[in-house]
Amino acid sequence: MRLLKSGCSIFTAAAVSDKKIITNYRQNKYITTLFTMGNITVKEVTENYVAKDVEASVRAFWDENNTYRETRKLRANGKDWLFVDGPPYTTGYIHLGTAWNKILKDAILRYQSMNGKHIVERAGYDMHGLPIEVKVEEKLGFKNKADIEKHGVANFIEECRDFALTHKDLMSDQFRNIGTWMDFDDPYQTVDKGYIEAAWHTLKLCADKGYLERGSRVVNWCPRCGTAIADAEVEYSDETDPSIFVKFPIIGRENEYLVIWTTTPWTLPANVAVAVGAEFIYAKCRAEKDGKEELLWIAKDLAEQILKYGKYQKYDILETKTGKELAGTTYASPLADLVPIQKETEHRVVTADYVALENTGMVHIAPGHGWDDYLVGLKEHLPIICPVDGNGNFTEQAGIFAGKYVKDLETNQDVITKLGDYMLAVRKITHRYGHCWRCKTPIIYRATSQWFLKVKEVKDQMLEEISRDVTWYPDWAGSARFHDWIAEARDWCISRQRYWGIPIPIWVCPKCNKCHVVGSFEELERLPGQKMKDPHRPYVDEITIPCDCGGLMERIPDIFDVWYDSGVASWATLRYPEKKEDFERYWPADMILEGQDQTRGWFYSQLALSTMAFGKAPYKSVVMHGFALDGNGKKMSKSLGNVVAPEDVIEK
Amino acid sequence: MRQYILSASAPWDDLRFSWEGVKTTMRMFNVLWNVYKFPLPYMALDGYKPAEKDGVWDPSAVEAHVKEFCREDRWLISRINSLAETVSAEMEVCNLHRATRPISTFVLDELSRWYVQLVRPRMWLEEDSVSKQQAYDTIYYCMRRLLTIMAPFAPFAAEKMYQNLRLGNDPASIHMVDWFKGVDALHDPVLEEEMQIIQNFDEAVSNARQNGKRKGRWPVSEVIVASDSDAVINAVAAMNDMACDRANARKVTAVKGLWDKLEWTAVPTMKAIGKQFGRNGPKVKAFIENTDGCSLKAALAKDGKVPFTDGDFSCELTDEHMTFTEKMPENIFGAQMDNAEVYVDVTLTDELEADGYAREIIRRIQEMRKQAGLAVDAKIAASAVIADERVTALVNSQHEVVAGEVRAESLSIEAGESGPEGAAEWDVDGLKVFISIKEKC
Repeated sequence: MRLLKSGCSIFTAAAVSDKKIITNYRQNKYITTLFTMGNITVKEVTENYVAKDVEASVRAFWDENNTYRETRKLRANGKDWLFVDGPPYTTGYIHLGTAWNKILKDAILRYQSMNGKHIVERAGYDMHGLPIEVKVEEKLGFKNKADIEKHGVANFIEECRDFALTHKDLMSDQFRNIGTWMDFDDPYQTVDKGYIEAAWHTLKLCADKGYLERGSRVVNWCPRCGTAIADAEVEYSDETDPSIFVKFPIIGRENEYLVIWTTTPWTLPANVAVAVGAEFIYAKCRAEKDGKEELLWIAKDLAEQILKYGKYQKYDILETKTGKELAGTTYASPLADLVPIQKETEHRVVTADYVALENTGMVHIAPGHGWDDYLVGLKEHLPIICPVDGNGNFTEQAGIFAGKYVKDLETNQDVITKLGDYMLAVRKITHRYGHCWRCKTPIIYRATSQWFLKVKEVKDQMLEEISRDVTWYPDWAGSARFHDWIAEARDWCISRQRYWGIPIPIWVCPKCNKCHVVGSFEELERLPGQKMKDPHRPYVDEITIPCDCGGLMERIPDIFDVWYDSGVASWATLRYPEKKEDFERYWPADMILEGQDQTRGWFYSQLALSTMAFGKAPYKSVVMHGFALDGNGKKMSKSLGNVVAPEDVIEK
Repeated sequence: MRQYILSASAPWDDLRFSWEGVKTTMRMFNVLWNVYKFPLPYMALDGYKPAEKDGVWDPSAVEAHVKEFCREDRWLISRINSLAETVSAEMEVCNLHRATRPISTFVLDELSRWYVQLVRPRMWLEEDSVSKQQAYDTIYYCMRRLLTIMAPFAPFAAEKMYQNLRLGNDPASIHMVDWFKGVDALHDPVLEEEMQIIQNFDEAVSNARQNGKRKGRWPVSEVIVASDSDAVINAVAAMNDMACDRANARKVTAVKGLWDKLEWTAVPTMKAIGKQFGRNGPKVKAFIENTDGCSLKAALAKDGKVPFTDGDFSCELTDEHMTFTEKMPENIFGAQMDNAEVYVDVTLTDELEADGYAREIIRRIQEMRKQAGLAVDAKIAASAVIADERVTALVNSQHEVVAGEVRAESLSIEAGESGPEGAAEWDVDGLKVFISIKEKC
């Protein structure tokens, strides 16, 4: 290197090294000093731009000089600006969508930092939940919960924890490589003790305000995973099911029937009522087939078509009644002799306003197996029968069908066969049906005992928060899509019947049925006087709390819905409730940034919990992004083979 | 990768991934890198030092004195400031795609394709030239500002270039530099508009030349710009020297309205004529076809009608009855630009031809100088043997110009079928030229 004066040719400089200089120039590695200032020298550059090399050298520079932390330190006296990272699942390697997400965040964080903001941030990871359990189940070759219990829950938990931590480290490295300036050395993790305590503390706050409720309700149920799942976890796709028309015999009449329609024959053992439209007209049709006559009640305008399906040769109408007039009619189940619970139950006709003038105009009601059915059941004080267990098999209550898996094709067929002469017609239908988002098994509705947060009670407050106190980018993300979702919100079923998750801190006394919500580890260790090794299952299950009545309270076996985990992120990341100062100084978050799928996910779960626990939204502004698609506009997925990994792009 | 992803679509729209898009972004970075390194050897040679205060870069040296700078410098300074304003405004509402795309356009179209081409010759001026100093100041200023606003989107590239440009007490990392919002006072929309017009002009001339098969290195005697727009007329006048330079034309003239040298041919509209004049139609048709199109067009423009009489039949013809096709005079080729038409006279005179060949020879010698690794101001002895007597004479008429451009202390230009031992053989438009150079110490 040499300092140049103008007018002096390089070749008049020292002799021997000239040749080397010329050769180097030709090889594009020639460098001269431009000027010096202190100990900084600006060099002439002749290399070409190779992105990979530039990135590697800059990363090394940043590591050597601790530039990320120095930059944060530089702005420590600026205006506070809290950013909460939406935690990705630790189930694998990052894909283009997650990379895009972090790139957007990083650009905004750097911009805000250059504008003098004191940025408070930590990367975050979502490390519990069914996705990881399923991966570990696959690894160990398990088919269902029984296999897990056999292996030992503690062993299973440790496998899950190991899986989560390993992938977390992998993902952190990948994020660092694309230049994301976030704290990956000390990220917030949903498996950490402090985080779990924040989750417990939040539940206690909600319970104290009366938002926690235990109820027997109909929930979406995945028979394979053996757990309730949220509305947002149900995926719809087309299925073909039988479409059957069944005659229910009216009590006290000879040869007179109500004709109902259903696509789920397996729910007939749980039937308790028939719903009709109050104002609809129903006709008693005297229908003849092969010399035999039957009296069939069907909606007047639909009768002709139905009788055609049933291959009746002729009919005439004897009398008509409105739905209202039909209400109260008692009937018997065609399966009464085969299913004990059907024999014991009284059946009658009720009116419901959701009944449509379709098929027969009469709907079979099984309150244990459908949401609308359930609501009718509540209104009319009908018994909630649900002769199906957690694995999707019929229980003893279902008599002849006991032990059968309800969603098997054969089971439906079996019921159809057993209906015998009560069957009027069997057809087929293709319709959208819900599936479990994790294992793709078709779901069923099932009445079970679960724990709920009464989100409906804070719905209006949530709507006001998002329109008044939150800025949305783009604007319509909050005013349209999200608004509609909140307006339709039902109460949130937070309990899951699985293993790898945050245990719900509710202890119940088997003797007097009293419940107690534990809000902190300190409280838990104080009450029973037992030391808690780890707040996860099965360790926490061993702790019992003495009850006033003399009994011993046991923890309910359930864990939190994993959306609850990330819902407490904005204060858990500030180490609240362990540390109060940061929460009081920085919260709510100035900004969060996530994909549009979080409208029904993280944007929502955070808002609900924050509104219930603290009375306000946990974020001041939200930036929403789309999905990463391939060149043809299809979503990137492993099964389609169109995934582009961020590394591939960087390699090029 | 980040730049591609951020510009590809709005954050809230789905991101459609394409390898083509990635390639385009890579091109942008390559271009930016070339722009960044291109002035450095010249700055090195001249010992250039950017303005500073206590070891920290002082942009006010440029910002406070911008009125003293020449047009293209003021333009670039205006552009980088309005770019900074745009990027800042879009970032405030999280429109990252609207922040990154203009940066890409600026680098490719404005900084590289336009400014660097304009400023290159100034880098070869004598050491104490004010124009050269200002060129250095402008490009350094532009790079510093550009790197600042690119940093959130291209953190690695920006850091790399910044590390090589920063002064002793400047912040240790580009990411520690305070954000640059742009200085509104430096934004000159009139100048930007004028320059845009010249850029459009440049593209149109390039198209016209292509139509006329006259490569850019061959000068032309005249270019006409015909326009109804005052903005275009004024810009061509105000920036006339730049226009001549860009078009490689001796003269660039702006004309309001239509160019009077265009030849028009009138074509009768038979449908209207037949309907209106019946059996007199053929007479009308013949009249239109045989009358000079230009005079018909002029009459229509003036009076809106043309009278025609033949025997006892007379009528008035309007633009209903005829259309006009444009005919270029010989050696004129045209092209369109926004709000104007451009006409290039590609007639080749001896003088122009000599100029053209001379430039071709100059270009080849410069190339050989670069390949030999010679310093910008090294002196050489050069010789060219041209396989054509006439062309040799033409080039010789430009002997001094050539020698000056290539810094040849001695220059021999001769006709011949082959060159001396070791000479490089070049093909100049089908003509063989043998050139050899040797450094003189």
